[in-house]
Amino acid sequence: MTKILVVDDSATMRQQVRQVLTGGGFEVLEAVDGQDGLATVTADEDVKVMILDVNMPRMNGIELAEALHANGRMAAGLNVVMLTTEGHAELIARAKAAGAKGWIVKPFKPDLLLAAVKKMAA
Amino acid sequence: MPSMPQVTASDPRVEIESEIEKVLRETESATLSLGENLGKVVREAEELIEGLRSRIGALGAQGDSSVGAVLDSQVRTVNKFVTLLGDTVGAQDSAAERVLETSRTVAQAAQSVQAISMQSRMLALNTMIEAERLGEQGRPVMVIAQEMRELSENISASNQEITRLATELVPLLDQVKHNIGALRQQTGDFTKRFETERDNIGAATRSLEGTVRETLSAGDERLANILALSNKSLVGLQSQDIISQRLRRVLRLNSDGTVEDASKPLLEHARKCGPSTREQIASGDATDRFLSEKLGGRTASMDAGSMTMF
Repeated sequence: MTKILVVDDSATMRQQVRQVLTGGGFEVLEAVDGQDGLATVTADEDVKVMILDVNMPRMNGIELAEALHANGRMAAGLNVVMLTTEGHAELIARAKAAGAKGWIVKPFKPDLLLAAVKKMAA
Repeated sequence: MPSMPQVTASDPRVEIESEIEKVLRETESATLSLGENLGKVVREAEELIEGLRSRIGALGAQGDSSVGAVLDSQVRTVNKFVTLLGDTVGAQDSAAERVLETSRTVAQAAQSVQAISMQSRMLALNTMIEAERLGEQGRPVMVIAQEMRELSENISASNQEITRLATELVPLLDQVKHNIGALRQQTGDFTKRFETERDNIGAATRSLEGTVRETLSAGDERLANILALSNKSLVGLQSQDIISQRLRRVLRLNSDGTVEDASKPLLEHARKCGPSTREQIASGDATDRFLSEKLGGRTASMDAGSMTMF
């Protein structure tokens, strides 16, 4: 079962992402902020896709994506998609430059999220 | 979860913020609970439909594995058997008729033989009388006449036995023929009844298959509706959560003393938008209107709910 890591400081968002993805046949791990996400993905090499919020305490999603880009994890096959209320061009460009594969603006449509994750996990 | 601001009796603003934070936490708790229950409802609905499909799905199957196809196969087998039975019974009836005719012919032939035998005996008797009258010269003739008489008596005895057997055989064969006729009648009745029942069962089966397919189709449709409603509800819950998160950010900035100026445009924006309707919250439009990033003064290039893959 493909492992997906969702990093979001909102328990509600994590819950909803988990429900959508487990319903689609994925195993879902959770982290509550960027640092927690970095530690979790570093400890588990099986994580195939990460879903990152942008605004989070301690380390935001863009910084986390940049860290994963810098440490070579993305080049090793990890796919990142941003899931955020933000929709500004400069943030999107920054995420893209960091190697993110997609950008979804909250509130997300469950079928779109599932389709995006399936595509990245394939 | 952010830490609760310190409440001091001398600062009503902080008290208000503290109360708002409590409300936010309760709202989050309720949102989580709603999300959990929503997921359970969807899972229960999916299990219900899956259970229904596994229990009665076979009845609604199409093609070779359908009940109708299996029944048709059984009907063909029974039809074959009934036809074979009818042919066999017909053949036995003909055979019995031929045996009966043969028996009657044998009985008639036996009567003819009996008459000939009587004549032979009379001839032997007359010959013996003539041989007696001739004395010594008639002795050889006497021997022949005696042999003739003995042969005639043996023929007569055998003939009587044949006649007896043929006579006894006729009623037995009549009974066999009667039984075969009854069997043929019953076979015909069964065939007619079977054809009627086959048509009734076929119609009932087709009706059952149709009902099962309709039930499963209706179940799938309902499940799709439930999933669609669930997805809409999830979007509504997310909107609720987004509002809570944004409000908390404003409170945090305010308690830091950094939002004094920055929060004004947001509050003005919120006042201008007015309260969101339930439909706006469900569609995500409320977050767009109320929560657009006025604080930073940046321009959003993507709308709520949209997605782009790089």
